[in-house]
Amino acid sequence: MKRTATGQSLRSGAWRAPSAGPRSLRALRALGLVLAGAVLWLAGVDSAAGRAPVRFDPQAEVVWRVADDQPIPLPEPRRWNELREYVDDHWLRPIDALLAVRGRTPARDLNALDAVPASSWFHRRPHARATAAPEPPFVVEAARIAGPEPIAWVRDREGHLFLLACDLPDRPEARSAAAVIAAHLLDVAGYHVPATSIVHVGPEAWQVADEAVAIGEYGGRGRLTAEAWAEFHRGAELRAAAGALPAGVRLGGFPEAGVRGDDAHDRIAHEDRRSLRGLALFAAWLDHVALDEAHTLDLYLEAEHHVRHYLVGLGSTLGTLRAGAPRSAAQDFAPWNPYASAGFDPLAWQTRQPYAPFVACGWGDIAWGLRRLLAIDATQIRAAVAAAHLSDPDRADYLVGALLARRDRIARAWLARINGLSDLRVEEVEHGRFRLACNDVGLAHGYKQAEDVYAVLRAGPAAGGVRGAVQTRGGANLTFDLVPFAPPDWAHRLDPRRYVVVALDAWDYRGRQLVGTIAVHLYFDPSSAPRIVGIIRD
Amino acid sequence: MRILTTLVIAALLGGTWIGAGAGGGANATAPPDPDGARGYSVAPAPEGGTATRTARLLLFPARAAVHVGTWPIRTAATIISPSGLLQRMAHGYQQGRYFVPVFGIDPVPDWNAGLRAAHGSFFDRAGLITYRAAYGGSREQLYALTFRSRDDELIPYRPGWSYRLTAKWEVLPNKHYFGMGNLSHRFDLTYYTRERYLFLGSLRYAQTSWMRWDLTLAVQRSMISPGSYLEPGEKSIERGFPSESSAPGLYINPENIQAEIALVLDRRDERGRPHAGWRGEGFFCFARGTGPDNLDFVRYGGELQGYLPIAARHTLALNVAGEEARTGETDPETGLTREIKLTELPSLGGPSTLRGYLRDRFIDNAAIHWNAEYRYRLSRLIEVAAFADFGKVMPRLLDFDFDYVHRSFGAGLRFSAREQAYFRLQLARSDEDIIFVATLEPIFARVDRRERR
Repeated sequence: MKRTATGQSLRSGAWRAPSAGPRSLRALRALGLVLAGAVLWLAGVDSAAGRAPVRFDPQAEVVWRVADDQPIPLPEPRRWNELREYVDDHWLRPIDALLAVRGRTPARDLNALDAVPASSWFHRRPHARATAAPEPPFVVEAARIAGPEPIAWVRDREGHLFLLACDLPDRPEARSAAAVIAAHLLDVAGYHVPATSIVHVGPEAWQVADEAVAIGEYGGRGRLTAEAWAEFHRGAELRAAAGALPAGVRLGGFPEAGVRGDDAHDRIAHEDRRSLRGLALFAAWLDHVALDEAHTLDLYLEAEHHVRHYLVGLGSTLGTLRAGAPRSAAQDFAPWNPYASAGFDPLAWQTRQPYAPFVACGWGDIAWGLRRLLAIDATQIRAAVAAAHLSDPDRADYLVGALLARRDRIARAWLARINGLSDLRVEEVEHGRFRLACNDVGLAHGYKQAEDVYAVLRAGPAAGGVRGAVQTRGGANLTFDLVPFAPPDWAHRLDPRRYVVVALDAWDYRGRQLVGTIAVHLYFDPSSAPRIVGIIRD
Repeated sequence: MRILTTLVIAALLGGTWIGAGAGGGANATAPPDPDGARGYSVAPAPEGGTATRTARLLLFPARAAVHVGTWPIRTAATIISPSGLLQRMAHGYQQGRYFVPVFGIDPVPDWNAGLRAAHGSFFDRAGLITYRAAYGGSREQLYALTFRSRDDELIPYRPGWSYRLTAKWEVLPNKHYFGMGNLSHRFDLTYYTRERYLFLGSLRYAQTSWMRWDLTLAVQRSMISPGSYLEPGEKSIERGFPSESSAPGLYINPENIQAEIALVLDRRDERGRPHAGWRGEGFFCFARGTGPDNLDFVRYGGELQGYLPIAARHTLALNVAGEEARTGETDPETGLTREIKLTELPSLGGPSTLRGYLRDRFIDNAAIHWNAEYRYRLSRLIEVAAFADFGKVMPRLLDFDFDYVHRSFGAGLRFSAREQAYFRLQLARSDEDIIFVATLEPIFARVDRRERR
């Protein structure tokens, strides 16, 4: 009898394959194997096929302004709801992201050079606007007088619209000062904020409009009576921060995630806007723990018929909402305000509710925010604090010191964790020989020593096997020779070899850990010098 | 020829920017389209490959279910929100000033409802006084009132003195007892009634921001009697364990004054939801018998917790704790070592030790348990966890071996912020029970175990 190596008979009927369980189970297993194989095959095909590498148009000019100021129909006002937002922030959005297998998406409101162009979200003015103080009498159109954040919408004698951030009786000057300082600093950073100044309003200067609205602490609406308003200001002079806004229709805040569907210009999901993601650093700096939809404003401009997006409710910054029991030992030592640098950990700081753009924030967004933050110098900070007209000069000095110290903490915490190379440019060393130069933000602002800077330039994956192009630089000399990447002189202007992608890696000190890669897209223009046509930091 | 070659190479290598480049405009303004200002000639591919898309497709029903499931919650939230009812409650709870109804589910007594309230202390500016009152259903009733001053569990500690005062009265008409040791059986279940008064004063001195000494003085009196409200088929403790040696304390009630010193080293990064760091605690307690029992004994033990940050949202939490109660007193008649009462002995089982067993399931003079938890933080308030618990009781800590180690496994959902643990739901199983618990008790918290004793 013929036998196999295992001694089993091959005679018909005498040998049976070992059973793998019931037939249905085997079928299920087979189906599972087929499905797994299909997924693996598809994944293999997907990766094998590769994707076309990202390319920038070398002939296009860099965009510095987005044309989102064309007239559109009036959008519907939005009504913010705190608890719904709570459910969305804590439950729905995280679980949905998990089930949608959605990773972090790169920021999208950028130009080719990885900068945020001017738009209805962001302006590129380097200095704060001059502010015009309102003229009494003031007509109150709406007010929230309950809770820790009293505000009022008023019109002055000229009919101009102002948002007042009023002081609380037990915290004189705190909210109004915070609103003015934060507005000035955010304005310098590039955000649309009301032009804010301090006003002192006597009791005789108030008028309450017939249809004035009383806004409840938690969003409920009612009728604001003159008696209720008089009870709020107690017949005394009221100090407030008055934020001037252009004439327009208030549409409520802008949603923290997604877009406003009825605004034709609102095409980029808000959590994907670098201007909002980078705001995380400013929020930490100014301790804007309350940032949410209720602290923003969409204003439909009467004259221009489009929506502009503002940050409002800035009276809640600078620790004014932290007046309760001290949350840490360090806060006990602040002389007048829980806004302090001691005990402030920029990496652990967070808003009261998760804010979707901050959750989506990546190192490129942090780097952008940090560059904007460090561009604000001490003179501008002092000017912002001076604009708050604090009666006690010690308070002003304390605030300037705390702002500077907190900014230092943010810079030191993040610069060790991100690629801080910036100001990328092409320089001509000698005739026909070019180099790529950049600065390190930490080094430029004195947060790093030269020996802490360590950068490597290498050919990008699509550079077509460029010859030995790895260059290592450290210290202050951050220039990389472009000769290895230069195409032959005879190459046509459309030759793909004229388009080179290089990667700029930055490492933390001693090359211990890669902290980010910048992809720099270069075009070697035959008729002029090579130039940077695109930068990707995500 | 070279130009021709170059053009052919350009075409073959797919210089996809060629067409766009030729027609590139000189307009520095872009329409507000996504990526409109970016100036791509080849835009990045949409996120995710085929595998991702397949996973999305397979997970779509679950995703739809989440949206449908949260719709009523969102709708209710939308309606309630303007009143500010829940916000006031939540804000108050975070600030230590609150008045909240609580509801918990425990396998015994099934459910527990009550009120918690807190307000500022009369004694110091940052202090708190909290009140708790709870009613525990038909199987086992519990009434407790607790005054607690000053929330002193901040991390880092505030260097200096702090205190905690507790007064508690509880009645447990049907507390369960299975006998002493590891070998007691589930079907040995008996019931007894326990009424207890506890006055506990704890003076704490934080030497540094992470090192604290706790000096605690406690006066307590318990009354143990046969179970009441028994249903048919249920046994009272005196039927299952009729002697003082099998159920110490049944006939002679424990009554004592306890003085305890503890050293706490806390290097955790957060209190409510630690992600990194460790916490260690060692304690020694002397109890002076004051009632008819008149039994002196000592209790000592330690606990070590470690939190390993595996990744940004992933944490491995490890905990090991051991405790022993001993007395040197002997019975003058028999010459045998006297028994410490069952209410004073270390125990295992319940939502903080062996979570797949009933509370105080195993009792003896010494107990050791160790736990491992994998935690994944889903959002700022929600954390999911899978855990494994091991432990055993024994007459002495030195008798420890790996025989009869009890095991339980499970998973749970936690609701906690950085500084505050709010609520947890967990399902755990052991060789005896599958236990679902909804509780406000923090995990691995010895302070609560001390107050419960």
